[in-house]
Amino acid sequence: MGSKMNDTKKTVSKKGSSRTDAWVMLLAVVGVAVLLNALLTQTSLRIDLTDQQVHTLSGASKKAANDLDGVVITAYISKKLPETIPLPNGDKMPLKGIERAFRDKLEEYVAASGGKVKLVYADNGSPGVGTVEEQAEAAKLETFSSKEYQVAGEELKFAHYAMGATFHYKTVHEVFGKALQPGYYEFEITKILLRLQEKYAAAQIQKEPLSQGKAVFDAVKACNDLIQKKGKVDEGAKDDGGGLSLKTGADPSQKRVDAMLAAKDDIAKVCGDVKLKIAAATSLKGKSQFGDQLLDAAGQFDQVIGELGDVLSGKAEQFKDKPKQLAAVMGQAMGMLADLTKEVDRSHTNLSDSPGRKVVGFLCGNGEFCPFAESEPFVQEQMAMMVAQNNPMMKQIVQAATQIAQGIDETNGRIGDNLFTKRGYSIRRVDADSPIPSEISSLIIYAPRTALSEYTRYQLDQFLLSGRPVVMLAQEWDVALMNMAPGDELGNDMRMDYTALSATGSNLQDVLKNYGVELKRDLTLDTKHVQTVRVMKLVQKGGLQFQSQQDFPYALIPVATHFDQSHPLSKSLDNLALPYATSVEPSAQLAQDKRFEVAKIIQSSESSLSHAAPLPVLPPAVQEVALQAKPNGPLTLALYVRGPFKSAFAGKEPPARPDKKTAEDPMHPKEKPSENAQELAKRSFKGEGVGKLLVVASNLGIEGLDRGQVLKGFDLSKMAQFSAEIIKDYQLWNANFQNWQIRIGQVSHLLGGNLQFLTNILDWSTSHEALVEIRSKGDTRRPMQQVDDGQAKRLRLVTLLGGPLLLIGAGLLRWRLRRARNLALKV
Amino acid sequence: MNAVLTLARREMAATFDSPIAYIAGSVFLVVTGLLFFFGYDGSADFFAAREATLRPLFEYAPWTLAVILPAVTMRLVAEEKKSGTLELLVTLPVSDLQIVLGKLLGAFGFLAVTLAVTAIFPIMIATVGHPDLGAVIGGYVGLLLIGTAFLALGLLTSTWTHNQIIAFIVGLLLCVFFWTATDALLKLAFDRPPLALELLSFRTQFEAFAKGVVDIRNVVYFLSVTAVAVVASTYSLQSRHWK
Repeated sequence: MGSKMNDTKKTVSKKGSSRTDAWVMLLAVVGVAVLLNALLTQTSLRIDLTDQQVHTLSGASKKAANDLDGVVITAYISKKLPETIPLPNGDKMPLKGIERAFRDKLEEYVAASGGKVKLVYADNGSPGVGTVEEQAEAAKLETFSSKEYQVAGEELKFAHYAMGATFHYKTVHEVFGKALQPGYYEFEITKILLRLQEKYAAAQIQKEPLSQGKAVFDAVKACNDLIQKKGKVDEGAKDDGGGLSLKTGADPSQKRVDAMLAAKDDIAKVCGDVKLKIAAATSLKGKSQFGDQLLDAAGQFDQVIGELGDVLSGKAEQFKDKPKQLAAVMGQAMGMLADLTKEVDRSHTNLSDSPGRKVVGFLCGNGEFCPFAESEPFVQEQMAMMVAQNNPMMKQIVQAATQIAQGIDETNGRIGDNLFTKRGYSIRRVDADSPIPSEISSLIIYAPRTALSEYTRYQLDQFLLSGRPVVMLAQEWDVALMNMAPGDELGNDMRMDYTALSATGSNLQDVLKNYGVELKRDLTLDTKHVQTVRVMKLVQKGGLQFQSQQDFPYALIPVATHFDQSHPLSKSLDNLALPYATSVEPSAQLAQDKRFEVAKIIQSSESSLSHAAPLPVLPPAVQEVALQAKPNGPLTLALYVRGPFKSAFAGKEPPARPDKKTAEDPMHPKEKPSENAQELAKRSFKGEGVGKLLVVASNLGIEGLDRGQVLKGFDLSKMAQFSAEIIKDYQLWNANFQNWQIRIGQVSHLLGGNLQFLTNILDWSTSHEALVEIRSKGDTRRPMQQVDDGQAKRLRLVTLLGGPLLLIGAGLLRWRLRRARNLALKV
Repeated sequence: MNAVLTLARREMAATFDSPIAYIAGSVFLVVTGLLFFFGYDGSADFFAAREATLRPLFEYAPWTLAVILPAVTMRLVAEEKKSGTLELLVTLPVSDLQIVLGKLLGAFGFLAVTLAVTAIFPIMIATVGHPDLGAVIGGYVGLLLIGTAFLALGLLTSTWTHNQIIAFIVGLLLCVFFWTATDALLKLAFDRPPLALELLSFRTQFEAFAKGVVDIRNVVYFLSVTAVAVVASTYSLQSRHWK
């Protein structure tokens, strides 16, 4: 009995011990798993299986990190990011996992640099430095809002967040202002590292102008700070030794006057420095646009200081015994000084940022895509008033035309800002019939629709021979598909069905012939590889009329399928739609010349064909033509040529600069070209030089919006006398402006990919070939062929039912085999 | 190892001998297919988006796996417990760990076959575009890992009870919890969950695979969950000796 009880006790004890062992073992396994996972958070061992290694640092990025010893990255990441942030179009951008992605990418660079790049994170912890968001704002990062309210003290305000970094290298620094697109992290960071390298090298050469610029800025800032402090009138503010307090109930105007008068000697001493620094900035004058802007703003600041000094020293007689007026003048001067200080600050930032920055020039003046607002007003005010005096109705038309011109300017300005400036490109307008500024690193001639003058061609020729890249995008055809057109003579409403094909007035074909490039001036059609065109049409339903949108496969929008895999511009392309493309080929002589590198970087498919005008424009009709013709593709749609070009002006007199004085601008005649200009041009003429030329046979669907093209025939002198023609002209201007929007809308679904290609061109043209490849990593989208409804239904059905049928079929087969086997066993 | 493979073969044969494998597999394929083409609310249109990608499959397949796999694993041990065959099984010269591994491997066979049938999706896409094959392979590696973790969790719940329905429901809850750990449940407790808890989510760990990146951290995470569930299942099976 006792032995049995002992056995039972032993069994119970053994069971208890097994249970304890099991729990201990289980906890140990959990502990090891947690530890292992925690340790691995510090590593980044991974395999990137994607085709182009889109999630792995490229060789160029690793090299950029390795080439700079001593870069310090300060990351500003808000502790608590929102789930989403609103986008301008009303959608929401999810931010889930973005913090981890940004940290991972920065740490990848640190690892790739072998210790040369240091990474620190801005922290909320340290006293006196403010929150991460405040630190980020001080470091000039772009903070963003989630549009969620936050309670701060007694008020509600939008919460602000930071996600970005600053990069310091020796004396220069760059800012990654808002890091919200993980797909482009590598592109942005590598661009910054390359920029730091160039900037530092250039800053070494420009030490003197940079230090003089800084001295001017410091002097302006010190003076403004002193004046704002002395003249500050703030009811709630405490007197902090020089500032004002209104707690005494004294008249604030009088207080300001008294305080400023008391400090006049200090102000004279501190602000006198501004004039001295401006005078000393000799190496800043006339060297760069930013230096000139800085000096200009500082000069204006100094002028206001002079006027304020006169008031303070009693030289301004008109304010004697008029303290209120005096105070008002002082207040006005303080406001102007604060504004001018901001201007000086901005110019100084641009100046210190300018060393090594590559500037891309866009030629404007021949109906090109020109992403800039015009600097001159459309109509001189005095002229408009003269017209209005004679005829009030004409006044209205002039005003309407001016509004269209303003609309054009605003649109172009916004395009330039959003497509280029905000993406970190320095772009500059290059006026046709003007010399090309020396700071331009590469020149884009984007789809001119009128002929380039001899003078412009000469400038272009010399620019190409100087070795700087020239990019030409051709728009040889004007395709109007369901466009607006003025109504009939009776003044009926606009038509919406204007459809026509016409040649533009471009002379790129002649220009390019000189360099061995043949622009065909044909039309490239395709029967299989095409994109759709989006057409708006009016639909009548019952008594109602409304607009409907429909996509048609369009033979005039061929999709290129052949890409040169060795060229940085095309190696990452998969497909590209080139609306209304012509074709381009090297001449036989150029193709055989071994000194030239000639690459057909983009070509259409085998099913494409070259067709001469005339051609119908409506999608079904042009499809019919394409199907009946014999394909002769692939056709070259983009050609790259590099080699020792000969000048097209060898043995000729350099053309004189045309006089641009126009009838509608008699009040502001253009500056006459110098008489020595011709002689100087002869002396600096280059007969031969190694150049880089890229020709794209389409405008990529982006048409220029140009005052001259839209307001065709506008002439103020005609306006003075009323005629029915002017009303017709006015309708045409309106139609032209709306047609630009219609045409862009018709190919808007292609613009994403095409703009990507355009930014690749900009990267390539500013010599950052490595960036071209990296940028394309950000766009991981793989386009799919156009699938019609019937095909989509079939594919859906096969995919949805194919799998289950396969599985059930295999089950039935297995069941039959088993049954057969069982029957055989029974037998 | 041989014992594990023998058990796995037996389990796999039992799975495919029963209609549940074909029903579960077909439901998985149809539901995932519908989600792939039309999205969860029917508003999406795969062909209208005109992108040759398998991302929608990798977005929705874990959801359906989280529901389907517990239905496959519910019977693994619970059925044997109820029918009394477990006692027979443990008399064989195999350890409890080998039994658990064998059953898990058998269920993995079902997962592999079902995922293999989904190859019809990339094949269909390849007829109308050029999907990134690397990203497709990465996504499938992730699905295999996440699926194995779901199977291990389902197996664990199957060792807790005689009742298959209870095993299925608890397994389903566990899988859905791990899949949406941060997105749904933790949101109730936190305004924004701490990073450590975010990392607990299968969804967070799966994101890199869906992009075509096989990260050691994600692989180790899924293997850790599987290992912990296997060890817990083994001790759960052993617990019959403790009563």
